[in-house]
Amino acid sequence: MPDRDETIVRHGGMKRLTDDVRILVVEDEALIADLVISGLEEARYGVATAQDAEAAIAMLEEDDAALRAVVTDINLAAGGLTGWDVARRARELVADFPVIYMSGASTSEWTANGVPNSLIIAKPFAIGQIVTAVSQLLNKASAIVPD
Amino acid sequence: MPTTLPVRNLEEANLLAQAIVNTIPEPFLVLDADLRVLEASRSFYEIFKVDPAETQGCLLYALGHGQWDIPALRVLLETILPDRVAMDGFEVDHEFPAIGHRIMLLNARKVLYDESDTMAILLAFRDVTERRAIEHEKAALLERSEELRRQNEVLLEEMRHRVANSLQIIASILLLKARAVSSDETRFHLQDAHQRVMSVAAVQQHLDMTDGIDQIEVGIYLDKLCAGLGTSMIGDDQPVVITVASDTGMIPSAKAVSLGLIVTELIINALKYAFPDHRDQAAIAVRYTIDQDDWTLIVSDNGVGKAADKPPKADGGLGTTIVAALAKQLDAQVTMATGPAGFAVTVARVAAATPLLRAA
Repeated sequence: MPDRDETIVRHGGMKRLTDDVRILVVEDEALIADLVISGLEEARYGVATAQDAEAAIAMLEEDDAALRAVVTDINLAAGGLTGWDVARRARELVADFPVIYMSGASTSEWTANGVPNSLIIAKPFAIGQIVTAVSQLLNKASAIVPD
Repeated sequence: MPTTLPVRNLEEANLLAQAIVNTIPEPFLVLDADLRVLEASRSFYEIFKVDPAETQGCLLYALGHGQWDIPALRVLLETILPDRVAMDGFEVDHEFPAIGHRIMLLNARKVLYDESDTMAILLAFRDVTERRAIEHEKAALLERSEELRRQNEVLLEEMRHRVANSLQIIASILLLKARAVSSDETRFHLQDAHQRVMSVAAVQQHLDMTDGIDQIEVGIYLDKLCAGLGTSMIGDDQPVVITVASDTGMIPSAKAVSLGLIVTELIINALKYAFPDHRDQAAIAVRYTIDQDDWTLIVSDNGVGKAADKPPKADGGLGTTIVAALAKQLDAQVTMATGPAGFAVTVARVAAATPLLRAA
């Protein structure tokens, strides 16, 4: 059973890192991407988007300093690279890069394919779950890495 | 206690041995040290379609136009047996000219005599062709069913993925529309519809995690459902604590869907109407109790309660209608209570009392 005190802190008094932080959203379904983008922008995060894994990896490689986290779908295109590959590449570039997977599949695959210290949000999700997850990982990252 | 065979001389012993050989239903040969056939059983002649005249005294490998000149049999008789007294279950897979493909299990035994340097070899055959065919068929069937099971798993996983993705798209459309519309009432309805989609999805996710089991633990389910509602519905401006207290028990998934939707409606209702002004320690409590076949669900809040002269709700009481319909489906009664401490809705299923028999 979740800790209710923790729940209220998460819902009521969440501290958000914003402004100069850019989140990479990787989703091939435009409507889902729109929802995630609008939620993150509403929480005052900057957002960059990619529709497939190849484009996402190119953005991470070109622009890894400006991107601070990735929120990625897993099955992005039949036969192509997946969200698992995007996250692996992100971690190759930056060892503790915050990773959030959005998945319609069972979470058991996450154990086998996910990068360590990542989060997985099961579809369908409420946009608040994504914003909370992003905030959690960024807070954690800023606590570990001193400015 | 040792017994003695009823033989008085060598001739009688031979007769008995021959009778034994002919009684055994499986093909059987007695060979000398040079692998010549001394004796063959009746079943040997019948099964391998050879006659005694061309069998007795012949070299085993020359029998039946060389049909026993089998490399595996040579290994048994010339390599394995000289080093051992016996060998059981030696498998020979061979195409016999007269009877076709056969798989034989061979048992071989050396018989050594104390006062002589001669030796005999007993060779028994068991035809396991049919047995092996059945075993192969069984293994192929098992492999096929395992393959089908794997395919089903992949299909199920794919279906889960598609259902989840489709629900996410529907939820996204509703929420994006809700944000775009200018009418408060329309926004209100779209947000409601979004939340109902999420509630059905919460049931689906929970059922997926139970891996196809049609019964789910009610306490864990309600807890997760309410946590999800809290995440998506409670904003920063009015924190609300949702607590769940439930008896432990399993419920069928169909009931879980209805129960989950009732809880969703009642929580949405409380979040909308119970706290019109900011209130510290705003809380919604969900309680589920089980008494044998009966159960009671109470969703209460510590908000403003429901005023008797309150105007009709913007949704035209849709939430109430949904709760009433779902409760009816569960064969349960809905009662509401309001007071200074807040508002509570009780949904209870109480089995009908057994009718009393009346005397005429």
